Amino acid sequence: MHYLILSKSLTHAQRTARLLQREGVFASVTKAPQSANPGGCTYGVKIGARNLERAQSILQEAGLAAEKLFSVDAHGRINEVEQ
Amino acid sequence: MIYLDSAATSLYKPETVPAAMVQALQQMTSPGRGTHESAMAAAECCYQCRERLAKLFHVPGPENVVFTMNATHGLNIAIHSLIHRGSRVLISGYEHNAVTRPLHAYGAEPVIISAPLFAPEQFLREAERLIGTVDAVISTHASNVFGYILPVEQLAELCRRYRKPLILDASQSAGVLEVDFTALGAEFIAMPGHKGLMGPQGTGVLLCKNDTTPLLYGGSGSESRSQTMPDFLPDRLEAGTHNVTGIAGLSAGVKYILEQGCGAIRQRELRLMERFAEQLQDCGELQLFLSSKKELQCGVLSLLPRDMDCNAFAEAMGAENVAVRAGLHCAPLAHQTAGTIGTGTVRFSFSPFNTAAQVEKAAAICKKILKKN
Repeated sequence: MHYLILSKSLTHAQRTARLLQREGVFASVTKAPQSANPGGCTYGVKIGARNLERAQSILQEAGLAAEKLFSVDAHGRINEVEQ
Repeated sequence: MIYLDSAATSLYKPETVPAAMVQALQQMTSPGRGTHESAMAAAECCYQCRERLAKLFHVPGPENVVFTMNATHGLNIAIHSLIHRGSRVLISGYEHNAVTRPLHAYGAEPVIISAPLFAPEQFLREAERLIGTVDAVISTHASNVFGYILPVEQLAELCRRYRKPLILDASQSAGVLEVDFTALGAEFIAMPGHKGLMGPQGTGVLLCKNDTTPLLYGGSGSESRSQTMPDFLPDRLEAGTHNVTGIAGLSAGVKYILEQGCGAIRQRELRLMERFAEQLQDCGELQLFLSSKKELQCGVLSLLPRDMDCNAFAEAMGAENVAVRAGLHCAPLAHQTAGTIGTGTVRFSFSPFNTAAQVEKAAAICKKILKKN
């Protein structure tokens, strides 16, 4: 399982991923599943389950807190996580 | 050829610029249109360019860096966002048609700060006298005709004090002078990629705050179900496929500037311009528009032959393999203000890649042409 931090745009996802990478958290930009965003296409940042707490704290400190967070299982099924 | 027309387009670029463009052309497609390798390589390239530009111009975040086709495109977005029919807009007397034509098209009323060349105090006094009566302010940072550096930091301070939005045209200053988006507090700063930033033609940058109105509508790779443009930057202002090849070249150009520093580039251009002007100081057949104060001029110098048409002069220079530009330089207002509207001027503009030998030779050719005439 991994987590997906939903971003409103590709640039925003890149900024989020860059920040996490600089802080030593493995993060990669990915296109979000259609069901994650009713508005249509968007991107998100993929992070490992064990890094979630640290990632959230880094993003909060930088004022880039995730608008929506999803857990993603091995089959690509997503579930929104309450923050 | 000796190229002295860098105020139009920089011809001499760092070697990394064409190399980056070839790589982009061969390996990159379009950002925001997929997650395959070539799309993500394009996304990475664009993002890196935004980051570099944000660093160079002190922009709070890379999303406030918008790619445009050129400075004119950026200025049109800025004017479209802020100006309406009947708006009163304070402008410097040195604006390019990229500002005055859109204002005319929108039915705005330009209020011109009419102050002579290289007279910043008079410019500011006039600006302060008029600013209370206008809805917005637009100014060039440096005149594309005379290289006159306007006191934009003080003008921006006036705008903040009177709560007037400011649009800055950094066409001649980006990459050469310090431009601090955050400190100026401007709503928009527009610039081309193909002049001082050393990128290719077809690239431009608009630095902006979040309140903007799109000029183009279309796909952005985001919020696709909505029939309006996204309400977030940069997607709001970037409809359609990006000029990734151009952006790759621009990014390499900006990297070069970050490494060299604007200050060093400006000093080199100034030294070259001074060397050129020194050779012509005693030449009575020419009027040189040169400031006695270094801080008031960037590497752009206009001159006016007393007994020869400007275009004929530029053509004669071209025949001697020296590239310069003559005429009104798409800035009739600047010529109106400086009193050269009837003649135009011949413009020499310098690049950090020009050499002292080149400018000395160009000056000698100027003298030869005037002697022949």
